[in-house]
Amino acid sequence: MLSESAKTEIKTLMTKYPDSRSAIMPALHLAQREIGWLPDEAIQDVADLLGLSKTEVNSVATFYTMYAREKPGAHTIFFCADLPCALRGAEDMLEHIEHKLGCKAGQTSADGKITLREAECLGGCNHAPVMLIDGVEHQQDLTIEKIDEILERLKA
Amino acid sequence: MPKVTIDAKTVEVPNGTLVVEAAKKAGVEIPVFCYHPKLASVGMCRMCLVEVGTPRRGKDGQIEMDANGNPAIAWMPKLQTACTTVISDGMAVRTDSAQVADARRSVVEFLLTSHPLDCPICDKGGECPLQNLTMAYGPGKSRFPVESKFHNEKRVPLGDLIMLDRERCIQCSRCIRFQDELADDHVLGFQARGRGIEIVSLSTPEFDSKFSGNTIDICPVGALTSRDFRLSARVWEVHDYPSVCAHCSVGCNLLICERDHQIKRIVPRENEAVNAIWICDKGRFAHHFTTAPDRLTTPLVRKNGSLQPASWDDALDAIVAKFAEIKKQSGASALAGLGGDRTANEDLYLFQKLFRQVLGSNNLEHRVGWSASNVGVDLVRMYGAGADTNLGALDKSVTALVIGADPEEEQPVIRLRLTRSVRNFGLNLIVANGRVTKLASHAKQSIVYRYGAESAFLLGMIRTILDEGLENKEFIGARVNNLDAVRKSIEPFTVEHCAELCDVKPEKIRDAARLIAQSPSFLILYGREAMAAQQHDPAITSSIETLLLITGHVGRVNNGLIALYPHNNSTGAMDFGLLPTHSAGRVKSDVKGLSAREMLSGKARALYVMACDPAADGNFTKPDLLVVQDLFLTETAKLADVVLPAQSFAERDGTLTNTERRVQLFRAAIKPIGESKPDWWIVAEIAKRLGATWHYRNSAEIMDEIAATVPLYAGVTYAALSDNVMMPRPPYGQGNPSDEPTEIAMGELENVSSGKQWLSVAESDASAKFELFWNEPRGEGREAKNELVLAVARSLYDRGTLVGKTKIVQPRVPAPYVEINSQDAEQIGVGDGARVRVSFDSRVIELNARVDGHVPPGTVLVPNNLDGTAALPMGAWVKIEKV
Ligand code: SF4
Ligand code: SF4
Ligand code: FES
Repeated sequence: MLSESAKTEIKTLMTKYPDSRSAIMPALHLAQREIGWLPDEAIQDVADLLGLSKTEVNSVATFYTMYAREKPGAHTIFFCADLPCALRGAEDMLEHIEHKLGCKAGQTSADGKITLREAECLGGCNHAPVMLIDGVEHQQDLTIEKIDEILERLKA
Repeated sequence: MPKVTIDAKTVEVPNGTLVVEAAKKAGVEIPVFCYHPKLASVGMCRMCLVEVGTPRRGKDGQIEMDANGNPAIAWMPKLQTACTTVISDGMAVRTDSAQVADARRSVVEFLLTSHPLDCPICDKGGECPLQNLTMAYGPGKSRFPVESKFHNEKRVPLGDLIMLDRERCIQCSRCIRFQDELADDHVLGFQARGRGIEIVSLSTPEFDSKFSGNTIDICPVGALTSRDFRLSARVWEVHDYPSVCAHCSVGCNLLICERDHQIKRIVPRENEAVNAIWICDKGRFAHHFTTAPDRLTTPLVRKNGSLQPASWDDALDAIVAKFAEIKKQSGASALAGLGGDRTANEDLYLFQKLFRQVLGSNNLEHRVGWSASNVGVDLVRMYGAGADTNLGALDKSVTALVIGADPEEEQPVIRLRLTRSVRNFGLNLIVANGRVTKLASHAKQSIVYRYGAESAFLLGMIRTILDEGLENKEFIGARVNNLDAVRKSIEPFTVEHCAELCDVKPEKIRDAARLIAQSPSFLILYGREAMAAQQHDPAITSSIETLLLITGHVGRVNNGLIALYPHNNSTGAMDFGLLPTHSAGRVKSDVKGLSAREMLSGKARALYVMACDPAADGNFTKPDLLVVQDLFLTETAKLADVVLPAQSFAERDGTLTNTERRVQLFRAAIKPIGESKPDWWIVAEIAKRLGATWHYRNSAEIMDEIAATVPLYAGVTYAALSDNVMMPRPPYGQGNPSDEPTEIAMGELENVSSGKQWLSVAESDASAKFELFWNEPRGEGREAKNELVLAVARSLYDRGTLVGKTKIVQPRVPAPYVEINSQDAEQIGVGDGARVRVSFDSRVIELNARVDGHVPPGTVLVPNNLDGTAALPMGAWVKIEKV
């Protein structure tokens, strides 16, 4: 499943830790970057490289929210569900997004374009409500209008 | 030792003790869920919160005193977990304060927000720590409405043996830690996080471990239950009988839980010296043979060509008449007895007594289908490991060499215990075999030698020790003769030469030798693969002896030899002289009797077979009289003239001697099946009808006789075997809830001891002198073209009669296979899973190929207890072709 170059990169990562198994998190990131998510085969590959069992790698991959064990849509939105955002209307906004996408948080829109997930604090409370797109793009001071624009753009 | 005060009780405990353990010592109960004394602490459940304080020190560093002149205590502002806090001198702990009570109440209340109200239909009910601690420490009422309970999947099969209830799980991770730390099968893990956290197993097959059943015992709730026992009885309805496992030579202590004369379940019984609190899945689940519908229920006598039910009197009279007739015609040497090493000591003792004293024949054997040479009968008698050697608590002062053995498949709990010794106490483990076994992953030194060259590896180590002057000169001077002759004979065997013979790097041989010589204590555990090699190469026997003697590692605890035998009473069979060469007490006989092979090829006119099935291995010639005594109509029984129904270990009392020479008592738990009788009773009836004046009323009386007449067993009576160890410890609430066995042993029991070991000559006679001897190693020529050497091993789950009767474990029995190295596989042109034809001598068998890196190039391995793989010759040259 993983490309030879990814495997080589993971092997290099392993040399950077006193216990090579500690490379598990960067290795999973690497695999996810290459494949887009972490299917069983990727978990198996990482396990084989690190000398761990599939069950152990799965535990780490499912503990952290930023690893995807299920195939996501073309884009992934993490929408903050924590208190400061909620105080600024995030709950209604989330409902609005769910309505627009036709799916609940934790699911992917029927057209396979967008996966919607709830997140705990994204670190932008002073600009609440906040969302994170594809792990790199922060959008803040959200309003319904702003959200509609973003969704249009992602769906295009 | 540091002093700690717990609720005003002061105790002294060693440095490094956890508060929870110190409290146990002070008689104070600290409730726990995730903590388990056999596992690493994680502090996950918070049930054990207590107040902790240490002596207050002034600016000058001096301990301050309170008004009463006692050290003033600086209490930590928050509660601490007793399961992770290590004591320090002067520490004070409060478990009886309102704050602690409040914390416990809250933790239980919190746990119950996501725990179902299942107790009435939960297997764990009645022995459930959550139930018990809720009663003892929980709130009577929850503040959370019942509708707000968290729900999750119920009845999720976790492999073939275990059922998981996800909403009962309290996420304590005991099961995961057991699998990781002790079973060393990393097949259980958490998935996800927070409330949604759940136990999963992604191995193929699911929950792939030979020890999975232990997680049922240590799960503090009813999340993990046995798919075999599930919903078949309430735990307070069963009666628990102390027993000993019938399957392998570890001799794990068990409780048979009986109801309505049926075995409902088997659970481990604590014995720190043998199995601690663990058993393997074979011992736990494969008990259904005892009540299988095809058990023999009456004697059978052949009439007009077919076996027909008969009375005991008719059957026994028929045997006796024929025995007498043959003896008259052909003499006593025409009579032979083949006894299985699965029967109890009492049976074996009487069996040989019948032959030697009543019939006058020395034709006795027990080794059918496995190696038939010395197998350590004398070695163990001389150098058996010191009594009280605890394989689960060997520390860094001990080096253990495990050679030619695969305990994971043959003595599973010994593998588990050695793993614990390595992990927790620093045992120096050397694993040497012709292939890589599971145990090797824990070894400090793992050595893969060439099968057939075991002795070269041993000689290389001896040579290193002698060359480097590492031998124990003091011990040799006082106790060992003949070293000079050995020095001379070993001259041509330089380490380099030995290294070449056995295909191990010289430095590895030297490192192993130095570790052994410099270790204060040294144990050799040698297994079936080495015993099989002994047949062709007597230098293995002499080298083992030499290695032990020149280092002086005999006659003391943690020193000497342990022979890892295949069956639950192989040791007993040797102790009681089911051998053509030795009589009871391992005393050498003057006349040599027939070997098993001779008996089976027609040299005996009358053959009495007790609890073994030689015909199943082929090459069986039916003698004039064939008597078979067994639980089932075996292949041999089908050919018999008379078949006698025996009782299983669950129906009668008896003793077994495990592979560490530990004699252990087991008790009847269920009623006899049909008219079956204990083996000893049947043997005694035959003897009586032949004119012997035997009056044994029960097996205890036989043991009394053994204790009085067989010096190895001096004093080992039933009374001595049931002295002063009470089982179980008090149930929850009355004693200490974190004492391990309370979770696995409930109910009232009689006394059971942890067994008695007989002493080797080296141990019992402190002035015994030892003779070194030399056998020339017999290396074989190699490099035959296109041929590979066959190694024969065993699989834990086999096609045998006993395991075959338990449906639930059948998916674990592997299809017959041959392990091939990837290099050889490539040459033959096959991959993992391919069908191959294996031919040797005149036999051809078809098997599945396994190419998974466990055998070195040039070697193939086949377990010999699977379908169609019986009686394989260890060390034979084989040819492998693609089908
Ligand atoms: S299944 Fe049992 S032992 Fe395993 S984590 Fe859950 S409660 Fe603990
Ligand atoms: S290790 Fe051996 S004695 Fe112990 S339970 Fe398993 S089969 Fe029985
Ligand atoms: S936190 Fe101490 S027993 Fe669980």
